[in-house]
Amino acid sequence: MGTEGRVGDTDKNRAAYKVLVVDDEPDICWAIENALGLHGYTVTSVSSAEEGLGLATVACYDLAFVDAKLPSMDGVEVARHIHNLYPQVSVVLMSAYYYSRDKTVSEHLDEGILAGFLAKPFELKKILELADRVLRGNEDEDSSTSANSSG
Amino acid sequence: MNQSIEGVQEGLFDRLPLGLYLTAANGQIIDANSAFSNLLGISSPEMLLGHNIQEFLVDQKKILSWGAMNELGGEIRHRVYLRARGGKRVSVLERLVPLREQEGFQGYMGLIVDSELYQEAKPELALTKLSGVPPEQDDLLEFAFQDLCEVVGIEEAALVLADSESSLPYIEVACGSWRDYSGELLSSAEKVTEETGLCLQLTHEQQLLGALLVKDGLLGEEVKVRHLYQMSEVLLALVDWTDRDVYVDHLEQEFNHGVTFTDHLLNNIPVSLVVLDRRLRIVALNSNFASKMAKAKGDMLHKEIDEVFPPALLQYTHLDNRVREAFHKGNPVNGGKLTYRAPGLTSRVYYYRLVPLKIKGEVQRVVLLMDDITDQERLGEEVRQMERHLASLVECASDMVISMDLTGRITTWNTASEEITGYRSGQVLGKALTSLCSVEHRPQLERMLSALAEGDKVPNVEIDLQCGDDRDPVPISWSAAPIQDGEGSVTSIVAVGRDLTERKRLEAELIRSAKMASLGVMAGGIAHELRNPLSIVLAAAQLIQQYDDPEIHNQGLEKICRATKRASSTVEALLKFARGGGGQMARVDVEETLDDTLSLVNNEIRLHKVVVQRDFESGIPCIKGNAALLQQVFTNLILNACKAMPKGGKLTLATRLFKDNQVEVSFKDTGRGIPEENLLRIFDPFFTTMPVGEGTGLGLAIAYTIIEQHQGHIDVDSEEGEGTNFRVRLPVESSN
Repeated sequence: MGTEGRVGDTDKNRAAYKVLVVDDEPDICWAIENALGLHGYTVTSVSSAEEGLGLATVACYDLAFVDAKLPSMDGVEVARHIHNLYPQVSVVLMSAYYYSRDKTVSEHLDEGILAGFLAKPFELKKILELADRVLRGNEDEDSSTSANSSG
Repeated sequence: MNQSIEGVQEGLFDRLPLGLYLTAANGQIIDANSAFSNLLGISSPEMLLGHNIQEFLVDQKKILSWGAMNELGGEIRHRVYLRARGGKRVSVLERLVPLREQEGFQGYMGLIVDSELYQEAKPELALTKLSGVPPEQDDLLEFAFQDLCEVVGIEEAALVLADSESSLPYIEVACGSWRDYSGELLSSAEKVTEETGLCLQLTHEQQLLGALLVKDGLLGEEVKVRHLYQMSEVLLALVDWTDRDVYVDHLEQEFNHGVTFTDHLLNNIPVSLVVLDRRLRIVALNSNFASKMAKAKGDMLHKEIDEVFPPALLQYTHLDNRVREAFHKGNPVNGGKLTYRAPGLTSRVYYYRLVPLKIKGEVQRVVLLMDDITDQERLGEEVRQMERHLASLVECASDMVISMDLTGRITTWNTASEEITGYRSGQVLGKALTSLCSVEHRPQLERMLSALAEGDKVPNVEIDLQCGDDRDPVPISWSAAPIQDGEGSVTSIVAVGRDLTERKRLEAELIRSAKMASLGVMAGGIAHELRNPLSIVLAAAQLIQQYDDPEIHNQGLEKICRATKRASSTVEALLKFARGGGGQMARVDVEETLDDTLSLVNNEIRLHKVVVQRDFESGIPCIKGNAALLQQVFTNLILNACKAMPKGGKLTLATRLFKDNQVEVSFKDTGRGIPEENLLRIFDPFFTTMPVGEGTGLGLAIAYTIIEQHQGHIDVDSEEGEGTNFRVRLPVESSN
């Protein structure tokens, strides 16, 4: 489900990065695909943890947006798998359930399993900022923390 | 012989009806009594002294015969005429007894009996006069007595004398076969008194001669005592003993065997019997009385009543006064109760009566009859205690306890009934219970009462009662039963009613609190269910803002609409859930309610990796119920199923029509199951297997209550390790 979009200068650099979205809400996937794809990122969406983990083995992703509640597996669990198997992939947890200061979220941020947290509903520019910061800045905790704030 | 009796006899000489005179051999009077002088119309016997008896004889022939008799020296009996003063002739019987000493013929004793006196048959008078024979002339008395007996016509007789002081009576003189016993003392335990008369057994040298009763009639007819006289202190009895042998045989039997049939009867009846005389002395008593008093008969016989009964008892019962009253009035007295504790025995309760015994129209004895009613009293007391106990139970009960006749009219109405309904018992007694019940419940109550009157058992029902004051009708849970007599026919109806006001309030409170608990559990899910569509809306709106791309615009607007509707329906389900409780019963589509519930708990289901299988039968009718309450039940059952499957599993929701009039909804999970020992308790309030703080233990209790309110039924099957199946059955609308 790749999305080709209009690509600018900055976008050309972004095109080198492959982003995976795992959410059972297809409309959320649609929104993220557009929000990042229109700015040059190569975005792939899947609706289940299994599909996501499967894709991760065959393709090299740089960033994964994983929903916290998936039908068969917890998003945090998916993040842990990805972190263990492919440490180069940065995982951002999305949730309508958790909020940024939740114990579960902060613990996994501290452990480095999560690169960031995105509370639903979210501003599109936050997604872009988060992606840019995680992929370009390589800043760990500070950027993650700032990216956690939700509207 | 008794000195006092001798002295008295001397004084009585003149009162004899028998004229007596003594003459010298020539006929000159040397002594006479007043009866003789009276007969001749002469005021004093002394005036006769010195006269010759022949001066008073009318018939000269008699004088001749007098002379002849003089020669013969034998006894002469004849009828003569005496010439009384004024020339009046008096016809008498005369008996001339020659008096002889060693010197030969000394003179005559003449006994003159006024024949007119006997013709008038006044033996009493004659006998009275007889007792006056001078003691120094015992012979005279004997002659006189025999004369008298002959004239009166008694062959066997005894003259018994006794003083009233203390000595035993003795036979003064007797005739016939009694003659041998002249002068004998008679053995007797009885004291001789004016009141008791003589009551003797005549024995001589161990041989029973007979029994004497001076006051005849007292012991029946066996004893004939013709006459009894009291003269000064002397009792004089003329005893007729003509049929002595017969009586002796009879009496000997009694004497030897000790008892008569009557005695036997009296001693064996289970009644205490005491015969009292006027002085309140016990003159007879039976064995029963003796055993109740724990005393020997002999120790009580002849004792006065206050020597036998303790003074306190007499004071308390006035028994002595009542006996006197019975003597006085001659009417039976129903005395009443009397409690007596004999030494060494337990206290007994008696009912006593006093029966006066009349003899010749006069009360001579009073019989005290005492029935031992201790056992009846104790039984009665037990019954009364039980009655009081039951009555106080009914009165103290916090539930209504009422009884009705077969037509449903109220016959008893306890305190709790007054408090619960506000109707005083006086306001409702005699009224039909149906008149107090709220109008819509009336047919149901009528059906119940008529079933009860038929003796049928009826299930508990909930029927509202109107109040005597301004309050709303009170919801009452009724448990009623027919009361049957010993033969099984229904005599009345008893009903116990419990005020449900408080319970209903608590139930409502429980339901509310459980709802809050469920809301807490669901909060996360609700957040998820709302934030996801909100995310879509927000993201789509921003994309539309940022990009002037018709495709994005179209897709975004479409997604916004869809997500908004989705969020709205979530909110609606939540409202349905939160709003319930006070809602009315209405037509409810069970499947729709299940779907609403699923949409609320969808997140929890997904969180637990539970797969839901909907297995709905087609054409399920609606039920009558409260959708919000049912949703609460379904929520609880689904959340429980999720908790039972922490590693995921399958939840099958199935609906079907059960027995044509119920809709069955089942919640079948593949979880860990419920241990058998917990199965019976899972509907109990506050029963939980969850760690403290995680479960209220109210969920299933409330589910149970709600289903009960719907007149439905909830039950459960479970097998450990296999899963659990909850079944809820609800009556379809038409049948309700």
